[in-house]
Amino acid sequence: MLVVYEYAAKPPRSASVNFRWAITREGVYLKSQNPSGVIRPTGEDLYWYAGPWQEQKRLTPEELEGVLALVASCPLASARHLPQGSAANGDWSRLTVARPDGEVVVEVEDRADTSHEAWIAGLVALLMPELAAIREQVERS
Amino acid sequence: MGQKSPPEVQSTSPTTDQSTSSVGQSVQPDNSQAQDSLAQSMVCEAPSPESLAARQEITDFMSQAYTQTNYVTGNGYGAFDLVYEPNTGACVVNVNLEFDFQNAPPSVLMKYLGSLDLGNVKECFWTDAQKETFKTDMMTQVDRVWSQQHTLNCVYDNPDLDDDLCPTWSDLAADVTCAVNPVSSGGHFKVAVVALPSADNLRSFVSGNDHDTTQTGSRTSPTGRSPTGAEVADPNFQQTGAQFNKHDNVMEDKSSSFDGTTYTVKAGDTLWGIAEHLFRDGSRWKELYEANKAVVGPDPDKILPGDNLTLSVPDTKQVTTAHEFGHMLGLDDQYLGGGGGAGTAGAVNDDGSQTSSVPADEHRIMDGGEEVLAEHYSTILEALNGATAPVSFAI
Repeated sequence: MLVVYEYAAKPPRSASVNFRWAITREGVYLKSQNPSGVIRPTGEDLYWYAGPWQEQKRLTPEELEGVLALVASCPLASARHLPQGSAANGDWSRLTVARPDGEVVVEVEDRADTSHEAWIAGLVALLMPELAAIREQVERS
Repeated sequence: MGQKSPPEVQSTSPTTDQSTSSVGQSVQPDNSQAQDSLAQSMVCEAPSPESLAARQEITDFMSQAYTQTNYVTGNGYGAFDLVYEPNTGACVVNVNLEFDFQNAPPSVLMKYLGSLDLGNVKECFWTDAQKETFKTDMMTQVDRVWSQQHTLNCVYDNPDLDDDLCPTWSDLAADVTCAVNPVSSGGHFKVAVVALPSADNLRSFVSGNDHDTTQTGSRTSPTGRSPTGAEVADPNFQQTGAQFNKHDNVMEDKSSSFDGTTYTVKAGDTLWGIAEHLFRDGSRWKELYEANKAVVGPDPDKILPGDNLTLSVPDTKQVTTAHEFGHMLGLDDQYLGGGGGAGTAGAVNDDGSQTSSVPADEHRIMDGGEEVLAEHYSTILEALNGATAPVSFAI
């Protein structure tokens, strides 16, 4: 995988909000979302997903080229960002980027840090450029 | 209180006296003794100095308001203001809340790649009108769920208050109103509210245990039960670990943690008794029986020790912001897997509450329902008693 993003809720019974997406080296975009009402089984890892990866889209060669460039220039450093006081009922997210010089893993508890979001915003702008116009339309309404 | 003068005792004129002898002559009654007795009974004793002081004590108490400003609960989770006015009985609990409205983060927007549903995507961005609606809706839901659920009655007494006047200490009560007060800065909490379609909600939570309680001593006692909270003179409330979703003011279903679990029959159990224990409603034995006919057999009276009954427990209903407000009051989660304790059934949380041990418990506001029990007013009561000490209240 080139990029993997995983999101998980801490309480087992809130596992329905867990989701993940990924982009493979071949340019396939995959996603997985836990269904409503699922409860994380006892003993399972926090990042627990009830179903397998599902292919959503195949990137165009140009899009894949753009993603590879973003991955290569990813400025993030591996880190585990913890809040000043964690919430027992909060969440975790984990971004894994396969940079050419080595894998970068950024893990964030309870929104303690959002620097990884700035990098992901580059992926959104590249792969869904129409979102900017939709946002503008909504905010003006 | 001044001394009362004895009333005038009118003498009875012989010409007006109604008594007559059997032969018709009027008789003059000797009523001087009766008059003396009456006069004695009409003399009021002067109130004692202690009685006067006791009356002044309650008068003074009622003449002022009692406040807690930036009160942080003992476990550091909760923070709020409280104002109690004994004259009216009004007790207002205010949480000052900074709303940080955020559009959906890029990590969530990526979910729509390859399946761009315009309706869903539009939900990922805020309009100004939606922001105002969120604030007012949250204020409405918090008031609906939390206000006037329990009356806090004064349990203080001064035995010297014996003048038969009103009020007495037992007449005093606090009628609680809970409110969210939107502020632009300096709030007790700062909450990121994320614009998302409800199907794509992130986890809603309040992280508050970084409130500065250094002026109140250690945050947890060795036994795990937190000490009483206190006002913080120099608050440090700019924590960012609180997150809501755009649709958190909408009533939603909460899955039961007990659905599909089993109850093992013990000697002496009856289906009625089991239903009473699990659901606080013995009449639900029929549901238990119908769901477990294959195990129990044709006669519902004949359950055997060791029989495993599978529980079918419906979802509860809850407005998320009302639940999260409980955390702002310093209360722990009470659902399985949550809370400051082990999160197992019946475990004791940091705030002293217990996680749910039976499905009936799931209706509590700090589990998946909206029942505000006396235990959920514990930090409000603690704050009130701190403000009015030595006068104290109880539910």
